[in-house]
Amino acid sequence: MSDPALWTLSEASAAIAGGKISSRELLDACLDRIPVWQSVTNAFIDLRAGQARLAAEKADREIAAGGPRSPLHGIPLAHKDMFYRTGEISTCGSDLRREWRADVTATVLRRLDAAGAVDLGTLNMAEWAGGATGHNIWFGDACNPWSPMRVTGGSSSGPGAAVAARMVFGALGSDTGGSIRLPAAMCGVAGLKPTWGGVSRYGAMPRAWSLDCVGPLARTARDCALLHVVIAGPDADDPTSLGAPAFAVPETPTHLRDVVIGVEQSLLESVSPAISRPLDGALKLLRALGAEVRAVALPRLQALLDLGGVISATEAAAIHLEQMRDHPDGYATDLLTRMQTGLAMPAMHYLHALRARVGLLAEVRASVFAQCDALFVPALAQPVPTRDESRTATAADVARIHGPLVRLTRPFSYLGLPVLSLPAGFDAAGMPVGFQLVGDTFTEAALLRIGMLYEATAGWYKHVPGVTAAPRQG
Amino acid sequence: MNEDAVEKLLAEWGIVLPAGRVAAIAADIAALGPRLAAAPRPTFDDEPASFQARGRKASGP
Repeated sequence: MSDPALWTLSEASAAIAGGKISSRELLDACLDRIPVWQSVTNAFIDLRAGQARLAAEKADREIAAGGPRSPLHGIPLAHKDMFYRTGEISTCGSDLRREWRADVTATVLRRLDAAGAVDLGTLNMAEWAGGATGHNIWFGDACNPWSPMRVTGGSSSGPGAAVAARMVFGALGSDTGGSIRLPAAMCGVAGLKPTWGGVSRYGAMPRAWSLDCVGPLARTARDCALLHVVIAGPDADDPTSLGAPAFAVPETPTHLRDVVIGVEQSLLESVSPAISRPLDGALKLLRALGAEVRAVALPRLQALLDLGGVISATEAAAIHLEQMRDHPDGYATDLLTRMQTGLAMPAMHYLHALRARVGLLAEVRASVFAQCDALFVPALAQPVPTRDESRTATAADVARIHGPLVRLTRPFSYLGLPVLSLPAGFDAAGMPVGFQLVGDTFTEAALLRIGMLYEATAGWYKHVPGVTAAPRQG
Repeated sequence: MNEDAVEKLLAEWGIVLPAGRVAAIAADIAALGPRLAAAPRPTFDDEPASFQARGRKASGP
């Protein structure tokens, strides 16, 4: 039997259902890997092995008595340290919450618990989910398993690293401007940013409530679907959750001849030549699987970026006002100065940004989704940066370094659209390259269906980072 | 928005920043003005809560 920790979540789930492995054995396989990979990646903030063992043993008893009650029953997961669990510490990546204990449990965690998933602990993240790289001065940077001198992407840095290093089978992250998609792309795993409102945010730390989405990172699109089906759907505790059509895990198709994929040529041409080859390869494969690739125009990219930035800055400042005033030393300087700008944002700018997305989304629907099922967009336009070159000390550094990283992700956060991030292969330096499939509102199943055949053919998920990676520095 | 206005606004929140930082915030916000002016204006009836509804039925290839 191959190392079970290297299986996909879907494979692990099938093995449990078939009686080939127990939850405790799966957990032990993960725990065997974690010491080595934690020293490389710093993915965990709090490893809760003891309670995970108890949960896995309970799952095994339940499965023995009545079979698995869901595909997640007995599967070891861990999540970005911003999903509250009553009585447990949620640091949110901040020194100010090092000892802060939640008094509610996030709806998404309750749903995973009900499905029988095993919670292995909390994962690293950018401070207050406020960074695109994965740097964290309080808990240490999360480091990329493919090269620990490079960033993981953020803000869901720990989930990206932990899933890629095969420390857990999947993880929840959050995405306000790219925070699921960037770590997924930079770490070579799949990530799903759902439609805004499609997954409850109750008990999840807010970053910018008009943009925040909770979603999974996992080794494959199919794994993401197995997680999404459990966490999605309306929630009485979150009045912004929407009564979407019920999501069902799609079957892997045999071809994509019924699929039209849109491409905005200028976006493809805007990427660094260092990563263009894997992206071209991914598009070529989608075409070979039968998809029609059609040129479309994505209107007003700069406006989508600017308006999304206004909402993000203003809502984050409103959330953090009292803490920034009373505990400014508890924030990294670059994050603090960036959020202070939001305190002075004119109300009319903010309201303009909120109201303009009605018309802008309609415009994007007319020019893009009236012609195609999914829009193919690179996840980022450059190779994965090193931790040193992307370190920020000032607000100006953030604009220079983080701005380009979110250029291709934030526009779709602003529009509230679902986006699947998938691996496209590797660049010449051996670092992952990723792309996004953007869909219209609540078309997650269609995106995942495309992704499932693509990944089954491309096979990038079978590539596992080696333990020869140099130990983490700093 | 000029530096004085930013300084007064922050003071209302109980936040006092060095002059250089106030100037940087004022400059950031001033730079946004022309960019937002170039972005499309919402129509009279556009309300934030409805942003996902309009045009959805018409979508699809």
